[in-house]
Amino acid sequence: MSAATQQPRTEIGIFSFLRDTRTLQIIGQIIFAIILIAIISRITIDVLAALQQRNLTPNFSFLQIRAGFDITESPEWYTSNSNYGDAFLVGVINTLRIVIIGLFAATVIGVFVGIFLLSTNYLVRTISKVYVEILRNTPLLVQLFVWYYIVAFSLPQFQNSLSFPQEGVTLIGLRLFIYIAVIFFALRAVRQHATNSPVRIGVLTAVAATIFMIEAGFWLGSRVESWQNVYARGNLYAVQFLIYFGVSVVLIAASTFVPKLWRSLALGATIGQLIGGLLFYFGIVPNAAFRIELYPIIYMNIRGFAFPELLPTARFAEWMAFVGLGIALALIIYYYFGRLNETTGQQIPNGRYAFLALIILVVVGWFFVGIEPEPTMVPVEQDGTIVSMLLEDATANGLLTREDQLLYSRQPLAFFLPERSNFRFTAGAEISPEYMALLVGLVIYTSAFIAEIVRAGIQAVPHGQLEAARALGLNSAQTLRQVILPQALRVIIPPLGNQYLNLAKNSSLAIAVAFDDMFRITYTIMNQSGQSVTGMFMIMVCYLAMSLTIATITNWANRRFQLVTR
Amino acid sequence: MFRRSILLIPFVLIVAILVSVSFTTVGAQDEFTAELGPITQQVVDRGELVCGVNTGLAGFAAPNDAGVYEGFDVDICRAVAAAILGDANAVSFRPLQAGERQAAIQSGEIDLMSRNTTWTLSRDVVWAATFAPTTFYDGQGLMVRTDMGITEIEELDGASICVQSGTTTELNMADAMSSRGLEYTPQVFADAASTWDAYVAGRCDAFTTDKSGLAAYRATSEDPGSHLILDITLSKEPLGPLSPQSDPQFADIVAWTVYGLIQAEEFGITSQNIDDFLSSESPDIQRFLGIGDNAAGSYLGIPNDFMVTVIRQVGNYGEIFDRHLGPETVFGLERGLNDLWTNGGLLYSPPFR
Repeated sequence: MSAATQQPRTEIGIFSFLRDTRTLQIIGQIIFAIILIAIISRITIDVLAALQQRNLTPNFSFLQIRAGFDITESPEWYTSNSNYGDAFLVGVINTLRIVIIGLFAATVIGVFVGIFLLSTNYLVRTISKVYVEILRNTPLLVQLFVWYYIVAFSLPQFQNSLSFPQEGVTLIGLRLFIYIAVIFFALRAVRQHATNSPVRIGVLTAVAATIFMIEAGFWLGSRVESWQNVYARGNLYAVQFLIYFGVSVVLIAASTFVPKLWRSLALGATIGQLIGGLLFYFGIVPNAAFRIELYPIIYMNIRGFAFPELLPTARFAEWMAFVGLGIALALIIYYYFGRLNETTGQQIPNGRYAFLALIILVVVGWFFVGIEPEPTMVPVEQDGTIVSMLLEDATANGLLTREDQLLYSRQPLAFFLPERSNFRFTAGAEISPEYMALLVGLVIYTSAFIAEIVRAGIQAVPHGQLEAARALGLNSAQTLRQVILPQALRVIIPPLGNQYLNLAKNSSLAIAVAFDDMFRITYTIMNQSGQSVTGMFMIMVCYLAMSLTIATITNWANRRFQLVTR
Repeated sequence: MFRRSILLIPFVLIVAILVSVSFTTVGAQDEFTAELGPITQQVVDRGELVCGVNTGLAGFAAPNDAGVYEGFDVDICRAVAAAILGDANAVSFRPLQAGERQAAIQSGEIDLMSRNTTWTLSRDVVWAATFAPTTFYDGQGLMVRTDMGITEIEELDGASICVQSGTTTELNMADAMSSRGLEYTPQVFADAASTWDAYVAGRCDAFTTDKSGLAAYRATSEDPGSHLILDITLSKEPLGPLSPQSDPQFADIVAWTVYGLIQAEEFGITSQNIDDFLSSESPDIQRFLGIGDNAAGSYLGIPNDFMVTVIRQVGNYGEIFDRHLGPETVFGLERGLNDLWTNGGLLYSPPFR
């Protein structure tokens, strides 16, 4: 005891400050800093010296050198004469195209699957569960290979593209409209009966059986030779007809002896098929059809998807003024009535009013913009000389370039249908199978993780909240939107941000499916220019900037949704 | 506390830069001088040559049924191993993608690369490599499916073309099409196998690589008759082995081994009849094989009769070519430019004197 109390006294001297914890901490940090500096500088020197020895001192001047290679997915300004810097920029744009659309799509799908995971419907719940478990337990690279080398490559060749709608004349049977009307009225007629009442079951079964018989008759007529003359034959004394009629009557009679549980079903089916058979045999069902001539608007083949391109014309800006006005008006209405709702308790559907205002202005704007007629005479280039010509003639002769069409269009937006040439589409917008495979792969994979996060977030909300919402009389959609989700978001957002970062970084797997993202293009640049270190540095900086942006946004959202406690 | 640590960061960085600048002046390269260059020494110590080859191109470098690498490029590796170590099997093969070649040669991961690599100015300088004499004179070609009915490159306007990334092929394609005023869409894949698969699946209208490669792919495809190699050569593609520039002595060994293969064919020395030549009276052949008092391999710091070992174990150039690419193989390539200068080809060896 005495030794312990004496010791401090003997230590008083120059080095006594060493016993101070604060001093020790500072000294420790200085030593750590020195070691760190030594290591970093050693590595830098060695790397730089090694690179210098190989003529590879990192610099950015190579970005000015002509690239010399073409890029599949590039904007029009990029050619093989552009420089490496432009090529890199194309890569950055392509990566952003994937990441931004991917984030939105993954979130939407993920949230829905997450809610489905908690569905009370067994089928929905199980399908979602299987979806999540399969997708998050297989590597992303494997999934990308499946999407690209199996799914995309199994699409038909360019020459036999799938197209929708089918090119040429399509016949739409008149009876289709009759069916729709009959089903509509049948549903109305049985509305007041309970779901499992015999009348309802009987009537609906009868309608279904009637339609089935008629369609079966037409189908057999078109396929089997001996059935071709049955439609509208109407011979009451034909042996086959009499047998059919007799058998049907016996079946109907037999149906009345079926146990009660199945009786209405059996009766409906037997009576319905007889009615259908009679309608068909006597030709009461019309055989007429509408002729519709269709051009394909969507093509699908191993080269990707082609669909109509929507381009703003010269009158687009004018129309956008109306749209802008509509948005402003809609916002004012939304907030004004929303405030009124909050202060007075009056129930005003403010969202619906705002939407209506926007739609009215958009439509009115569309027509207003189209009032001014297009010029009658236009200058066009014909056989190398510029001549003035009637607009209709120029259009009919296909002399208008795309720019001319946009300039003279009366509508603010112009559609360009995909057109096929020998090897590719010359008009319309296209999505490559590489882009689709990467986007779908990333979105589906990430959505499985997001679904689990959403499920966990919803389950983290105390059950009492749900019961309280029900006690207040909110319906399930209101409960979800106004009680559960706002509280679940607090739990969901932080891990969701991690998934967003994963998606952004996983986009570099594009190289596996030959999509021209930043990483793949830089890989080519590094190969052709030899500037590997600089290239890697540029990739790292870009991914870092992208990740930090995503992190900043999710952190901001996180702060907003955190519980405000005082 | 937080603010103080922020101030510390620039301080640390400044000190780091100052220290690194002062170190660079002090850091001196220790030079090891010996008869053998550093790479040769390394090969001898290891008892094995590490050779970078193609990941799989039939005829040039591909594993056979037993998993052993075989092919034209592979035999060049084996010849160099035989020259230095006296054993053609003392080679460890490192399969390389086209895009990995630069890193492999610069990092010293491999001693020698023999992987369908085109000799270009930028590669010679930027890769810091020494190219040995060209072993295979090739040219870029185009292949299409016969059912397309295309025979001329001009008919490919608007087509999409499958090409491997990180190759001279990628650049030549852009030049060839733009100089003819043709539009095309390149479809770029990271490795040769997926490029070929995509072409076969119909993702592209045409497939482009060196003509020898086209022949190899066509020969190994399911239906060789359904592919047509267009009668056009888009570029000069001299393919040959290369080694790091850091060891000129090793590069000399590689170069003279390749010359030796060519010279052996010119003399008519093969792996079968080499024993007859050992007693040859011709001074040229005696010098070449390092027999008697003639110095040959000893100039290079390797066994004097290194060519005897090489020819006995690997054969001469003509034997290698015929074994892997010649008329008796599935590829059935003509010698063409790859014939001796005496037969109208480009193969010419400087004298072994």
